[in-house]
Amino acid sequence: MSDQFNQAVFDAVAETFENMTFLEVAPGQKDQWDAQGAEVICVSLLINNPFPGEFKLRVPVPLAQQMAEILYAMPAEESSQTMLHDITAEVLNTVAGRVMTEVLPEDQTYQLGLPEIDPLENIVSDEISAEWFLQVDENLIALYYLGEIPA
Amino acid sequence: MKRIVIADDSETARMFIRRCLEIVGLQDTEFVEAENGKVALAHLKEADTDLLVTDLNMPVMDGEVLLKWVKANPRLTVIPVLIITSAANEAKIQELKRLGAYEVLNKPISPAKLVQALAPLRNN
Repeated sequence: MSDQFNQAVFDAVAETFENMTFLEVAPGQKDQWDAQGAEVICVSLLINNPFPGEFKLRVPVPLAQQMAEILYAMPAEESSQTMLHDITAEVLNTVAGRVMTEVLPEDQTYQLGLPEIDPLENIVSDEISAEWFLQVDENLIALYYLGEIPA
Repeated sequence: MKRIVIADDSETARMFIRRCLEIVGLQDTEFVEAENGKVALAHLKEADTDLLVTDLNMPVMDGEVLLKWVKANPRLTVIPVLIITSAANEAKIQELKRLGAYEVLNKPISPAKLVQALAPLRNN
């Protein structure tokens, strides 16, 4: 994986969480993710042009509830599942766009799909081109990229 | 500004944009929300609107098609169209401005970005 792509993903996640919810992002570890065991919300987003690719984001429910509490100024227990899905989808949508803007040449347009809720499934490991485990406040999130990695 | 239409398929994004607009001093504005471009276009035809804020990537009618509809309609063409999207780099921004977009901002937005973008409109 190129250093530029790796850095672009970290910067996009950090900027998105900090801007939307004031939550700080730090690098995390895969074994922490495996040990976390919380219920997660899964969303995916296709890259349609200029090359095929897909981002998949896994966010623990407690973190999505914390974001709902901040964004909607409401008690976490009052947030609906639809709201938690929408927040997670909007995070991924924003992250994917920031990454593509960063890694592609300025004169290269691109096209993203719409974020979709994924069924909770294990991603086949040999399909994963890159993965990131990031600490957001007290929770860990996982972000996977499937497909061609931009040079 | 008395009336602003916000088009985005994400309720979270619409709420976040509305909150940022309120923070920059538009708390007395009427905000009308739409989950896609087609609904936004209908809202624009209902009453005089001072600003359209739209995402690009939406189901049914996307933001680029909405922009073309607005700029092709003699009654709506004067409405400034501010595009707030996750999917715009310099090439896309120039393309959208050629189509008549007032300004294009990348998500995540912030009150500071909006203040700067809206300054010329508010000064007028």
